[in-house]
Amino acid sequence: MAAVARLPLTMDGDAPQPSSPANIAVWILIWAEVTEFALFFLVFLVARSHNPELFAEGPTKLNTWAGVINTLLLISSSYCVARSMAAIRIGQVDRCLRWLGATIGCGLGYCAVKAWEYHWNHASGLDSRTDVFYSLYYYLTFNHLLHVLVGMCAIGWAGLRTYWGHFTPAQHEGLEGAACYWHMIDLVWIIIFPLLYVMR
Amino acid sequence: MNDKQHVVSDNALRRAWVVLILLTLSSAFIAESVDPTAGIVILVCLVVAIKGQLVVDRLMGLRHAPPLIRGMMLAYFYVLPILIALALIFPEPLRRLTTL
Repeated sequence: MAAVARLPLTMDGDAPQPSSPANIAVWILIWAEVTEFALFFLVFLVARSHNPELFAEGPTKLNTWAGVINTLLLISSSYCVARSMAAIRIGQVDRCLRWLGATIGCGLGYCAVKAWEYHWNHASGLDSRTDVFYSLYYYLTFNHLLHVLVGMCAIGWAGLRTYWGHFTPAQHEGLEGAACYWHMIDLVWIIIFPLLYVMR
Repeated sequence: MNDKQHVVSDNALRRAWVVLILLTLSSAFIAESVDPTAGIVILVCLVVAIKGQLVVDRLMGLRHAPPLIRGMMLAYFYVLPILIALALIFPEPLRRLTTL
């Protein structure tokens, strides 16, 4: 195994140097994505103000536990990708790959739960045409699901490049970009979950 | 990339993860068992802000990132929860504002 190159790393307590994970292009993409979802949230709130009864009743018919499980999966996936970054920073490539695999596993779990939830909704007689709450519910959650799929592809590609040895402790910007994009997906769901499933 | 990187320890990551899990389960409990009063809405929005900050600062490791990047990410989780709380607690002004 090649010698592990270690950066002079600081821990909590030392004077840290400001450093930007990922390059500016990734951040522009992330801010564009969160702005897109912010606009969706504003539309949701406006629609809710015009249809208070529908939006009070809508969440009661959703499968809250599917939403909870998906939140737990996405939070755990963020944890996994953060651990993968910690591993690559100290040159532990195998550990990094295992944590990236766990990240994708959580993503696959999310997709499975979401598919089951949509099936459960259909069996309950709920679909995107039921009323405006469910139209927005499907628009928000399906859009988010698409981002999860894109994120999984990005993490998978970053994992392949890690396996091929393209990333080192000194240079792993591509992996950081994919990781930041994945965290963005989790951050957006942190708002979607209470908006759709909790606020009644 | 700078030569020195601030690293969040594995223990700090694990603690952040556990807190996020607990906050999520508490939100689920609220969803299933408590009537959504104004106080509950504010509490849930506060939880959203805390979860967002934990992910941004700990899991993304932006606590010591350049202020612009960290600030813009955190602003999202300060501004949006406030807007959501206001919209849920005062729906009527929003409805009048958005009626043609």
